Amino acid sequence: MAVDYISLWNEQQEAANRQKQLWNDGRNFWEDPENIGRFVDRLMNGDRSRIEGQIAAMQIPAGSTVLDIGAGPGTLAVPLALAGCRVTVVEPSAGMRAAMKDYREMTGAPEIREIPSRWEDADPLEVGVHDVVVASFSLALDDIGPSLLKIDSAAKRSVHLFWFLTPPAWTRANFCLWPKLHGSEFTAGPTADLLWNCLCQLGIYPDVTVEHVDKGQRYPTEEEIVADYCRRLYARDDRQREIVAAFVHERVVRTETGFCIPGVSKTAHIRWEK
Amino acid sequence: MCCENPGTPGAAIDYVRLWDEQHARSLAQKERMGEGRGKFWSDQDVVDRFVRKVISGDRSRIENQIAEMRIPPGSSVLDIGAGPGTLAVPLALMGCRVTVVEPSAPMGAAMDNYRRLVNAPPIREIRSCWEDVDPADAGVHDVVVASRSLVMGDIRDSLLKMDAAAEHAVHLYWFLSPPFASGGNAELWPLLHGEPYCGEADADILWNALCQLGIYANVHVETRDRTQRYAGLEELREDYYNHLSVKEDWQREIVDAFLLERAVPDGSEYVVPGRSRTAHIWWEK
Repeated sequence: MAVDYISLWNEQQEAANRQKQLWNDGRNFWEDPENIGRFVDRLMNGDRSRIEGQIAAMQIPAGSTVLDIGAGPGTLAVPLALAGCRVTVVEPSAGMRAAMKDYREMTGAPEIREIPSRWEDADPLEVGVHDVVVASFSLALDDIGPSLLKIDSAAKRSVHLFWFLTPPAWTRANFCLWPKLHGSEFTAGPTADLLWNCLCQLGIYPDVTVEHVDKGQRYPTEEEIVADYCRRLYARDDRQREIVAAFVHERVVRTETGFCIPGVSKTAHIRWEK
Repeated sequence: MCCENPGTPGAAIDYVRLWDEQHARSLAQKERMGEGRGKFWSDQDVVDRFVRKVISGDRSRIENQIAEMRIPPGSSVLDIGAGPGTLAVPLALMGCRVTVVEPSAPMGAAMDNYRRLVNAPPIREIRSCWEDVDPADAGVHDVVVASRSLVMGDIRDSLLKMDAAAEHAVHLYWFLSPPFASGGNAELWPLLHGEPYCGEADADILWNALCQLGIYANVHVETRDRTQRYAGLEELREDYYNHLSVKEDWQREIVDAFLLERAVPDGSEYVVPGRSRTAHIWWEK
């Protein structure tokens, strides 16, 4: 039985990247101020139960050193720092780092060390070794084998990875609309089942806890949903925007806190101790 | 509508087929050795040795299993491939209403003895392979358990039938690195039989097959030093001959030489050091 899961992950990741690069004109999704703005808004005003659930599930003792890879606007890093952990983040996007600084100052959380880099490019000596390493929905990494081994080497006690086990609910629009918008099938990135297989292939046999996600992402208005979906789907001309708007309009639901498109998905918390 | 149900991209590999093919290879090898379906576990000596281990061996593994499944007392439990009642009897003692599916008659008799010995309440028995059980006969239970008993073909139907038989949860235990690979068995087999050993597929294939069936299960991996204990050198040799289908003197010599090198005396007992990994795969409904 010799399936090379690491190559499979890399192939799927590269195919997903190629598709994005084809349409994004060289712009990086995570550097776009509007995308960052929406991310931060969700962090400040959205449902915090998932973040609380993640932090509770990791059971990180106060005082631990934590390395958060792809920390975004500090979604986990800031609460962990507030809980008494000494946190280092690796985050390549300047916009996200600025958002984290705002979030940290707003909550009065202690200093967080920043490494402004992609994980693949981070120098292991500069990164150092930490009690716990976390990477939450940030595993769109090139060459997964060395990236995972580098994660393992940076951890003294445990590693926690969170990733999509089924494509997230919003990708339903991609699967459905991509052919109409761009004339080709949508290529989704690799999922957590493949990630677990890669780790087993590397001789790491981690535990998996599956989470059921049944809350759609919250938006303040229906127009915001259309704008976000247009950006994710690279819908730019009027014909494309109309297709996206019709898709959204058919599915949008009003909730107490705004608007969302309902959908279910599964995420995996993959963890191992050392 | 197709787009309402995006497929998982990882499903490019047909894990269900991988499992079934590996099971078929393993079965074919067993049959070549004259140990086809169920014969191994119907051998009275094998059952006796197994039962001795369950009753007088290290109980911490069984206790851990029962603790981590967290089955509320009073639950109805279906134990598939229950063997001599390793889990079924303690679960019945705890107040669960237990039904077992077990094809081997000597195992059934052993469970009966074990149950009486500890005064556990009656356990309903279905004397059959899981593949052949009629779902109406199996019924629906709060919890379904299959512990180290997934030597099953047609894994798709076997797993879906387990899922359908469970109201609240399913707990599977299976080897992530097979016990056979431990303790030197896998390296001895080619020397004895001139071909590689064909084991069953591991728990990683099982978990992926479940994902392929739309069942997204939790996994807990347990690594254990597998220091299996034997009362004496004779018992140790017999167990190895048996597992390795040894029938000729020249084969016995190979095994004896190997054990002389690897078996470690521990007080009056012998152990062969090794390591095994078991996955607890479970889902709630």
